[in-house]
Amino acid sequence: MSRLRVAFLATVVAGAFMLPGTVTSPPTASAEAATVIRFASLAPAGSAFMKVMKAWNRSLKQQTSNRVELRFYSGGSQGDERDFIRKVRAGQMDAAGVTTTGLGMVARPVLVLTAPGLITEYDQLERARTELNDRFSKLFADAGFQLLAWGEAGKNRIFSVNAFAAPEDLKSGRPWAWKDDPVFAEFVSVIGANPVRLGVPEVYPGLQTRMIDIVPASAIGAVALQWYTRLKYMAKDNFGIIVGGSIIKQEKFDQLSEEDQKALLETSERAARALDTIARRDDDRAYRSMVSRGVVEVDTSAHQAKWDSVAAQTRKNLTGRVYSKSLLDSVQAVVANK
Amino acid sequence: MVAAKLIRWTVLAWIVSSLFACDTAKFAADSTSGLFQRAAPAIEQYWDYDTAGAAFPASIIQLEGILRVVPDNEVVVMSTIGAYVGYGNGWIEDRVEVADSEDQWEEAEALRARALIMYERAWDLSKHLMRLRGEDFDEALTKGPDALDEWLHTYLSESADAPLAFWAGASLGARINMGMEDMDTVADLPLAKVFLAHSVELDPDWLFMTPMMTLGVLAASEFPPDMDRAKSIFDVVLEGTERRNLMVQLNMARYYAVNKGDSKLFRDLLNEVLDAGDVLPEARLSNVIARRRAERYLDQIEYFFSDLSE
Repeated sequence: MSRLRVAFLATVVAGAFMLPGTVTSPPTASAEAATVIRFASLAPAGSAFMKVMKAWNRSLKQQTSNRVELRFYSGGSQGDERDFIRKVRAGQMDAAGVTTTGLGMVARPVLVLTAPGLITEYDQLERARTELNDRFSKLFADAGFQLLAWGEAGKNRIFSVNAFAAPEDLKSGRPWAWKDDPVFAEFVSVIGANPVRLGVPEVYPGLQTRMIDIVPASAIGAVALQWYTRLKYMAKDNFGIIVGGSIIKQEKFDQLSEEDQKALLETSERAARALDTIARRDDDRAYRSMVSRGVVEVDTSAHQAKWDSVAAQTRKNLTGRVYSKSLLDSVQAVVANK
Repeated sequence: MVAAKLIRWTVLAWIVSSLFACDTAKFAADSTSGLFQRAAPAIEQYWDYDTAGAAFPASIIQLEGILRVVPDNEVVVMSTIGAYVGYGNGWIEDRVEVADSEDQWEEAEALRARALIMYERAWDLSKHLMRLRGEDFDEALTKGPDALDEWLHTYLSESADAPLAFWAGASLGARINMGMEDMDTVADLPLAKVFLAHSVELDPDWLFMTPMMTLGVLAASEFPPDMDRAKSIFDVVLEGTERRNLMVQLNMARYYAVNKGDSKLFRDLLNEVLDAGDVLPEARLSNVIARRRAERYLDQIEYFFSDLSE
């Protein structure tokens, strides 16, 4: 075969290869706003998420007559969610869009929203975060943060290298549990398996070497993190929903005038609802994509009673350690009250 | 006498052309591929960004026309893939960056959509070339990264196959980059990595080590990033290219330094790009693009680093 001499093309190609996790820096040519809010997000440049966030910035600027501007640091350029929270606390960043992990680092009881089997449908989550918003907001405020808006990042499912259907099928497996996630670790402990605690970067290599063979993830996560290429089975039913949210350091929020605070909260809420729509669409699309690529759907419904029992025991075990009984009861009541 | 000679030559020409039956156009088109190879350095060594960019669309149309005649000619197909990916990245995506920076989001969106169409076409052409090598290519692609890797080792095993693997990975990667709104497109990322890694395996030095550099960009920017691996790859490429392929410094600054939060390294690398002279005439145009971007990124440094005192 002949070799092509198209070096000038090839050497620019790497720049075109900005894949999930890349950096975006959308500066604005307009005059510098009076207040710049530095916002960290894992959403990659060019993603639908980031497009909504840019639209959020445009609305905010318009509504505050350019007094307030968001500057996004996206796609992991600021590390992971743990780094986001650390940087916001240290004043190197002002705000962040995070998922369960980040929210839980700020206000641990919020993890009640991800307790297994408690909230599995989007409408349940919407009711819980609306009706208990004041209670959760206080938890964030007590930690020095203002909650701008709730979000979500897909349905949390079990993925496995090996076939499974009932909880006991996971007993002999090696399930991954994130270092900062007490919920799934407890869930697999109740099943009788030993959680392998790793950071997110170690999961893919862990699947390759079979150090782990079971992971909890949303379909979006399994695709974006490329884990799906090492997994063969995924549960049709989810045991929870990955909750997210935008939070800002209280100090920074307090620097804004009352009018601008209102504008920030209003535009945040609008953006968050648009992001919910995208997250649901992407999660569904990612799920279908994995099925088309050979990942096998697992119907666990024949063993639903066993799964429910494991979930209930997990929720009970986490009570007092992660969240209070009163908070759990409140969420359960809201979820049950259709 | 002269008339007789003329008749003889005419008859001979007719016989020869008859032998090729209706494929004289194919013959001519196939011959053109050799011309492309010989002419390519003139473009690579061109110095003016705007003139080169203005010439690209016509070249693409011309290549598409030739492809109609010789759809299986590897040189012509790869030239077309390269033209789409190169123009898309070097010019259209450049305008996307500028439009984003000027808050012209509608223009940026339209340009992204345009680039995506070009990359879709480039990826389709790449798949066509692969199918010519082995009929079971689509099956390997569907089965996933391991099956694709095995297929590549079977059908693309010579160092001369490095460009083919690279262009497949580059076109797929560029398509993913512009098509991130579709999770099914994003799911192709592991496949793009397999193509690139195979290209590097076949010939790590090809094209001023660009395929290896691309793996460095990926290691630094995929989620989650592997910064140690990215650093070691960039270091190898910098040394191997004697720091003359300025795209390496540019990409190391943009992806490695930014994701490490190292603003000093970012500045140092980009200033090196700006201060370098005509250090690699064989890739002059590429280095012109690197300088152009380096200048822009330095102007926007506060958008890459939330805290410049870090």
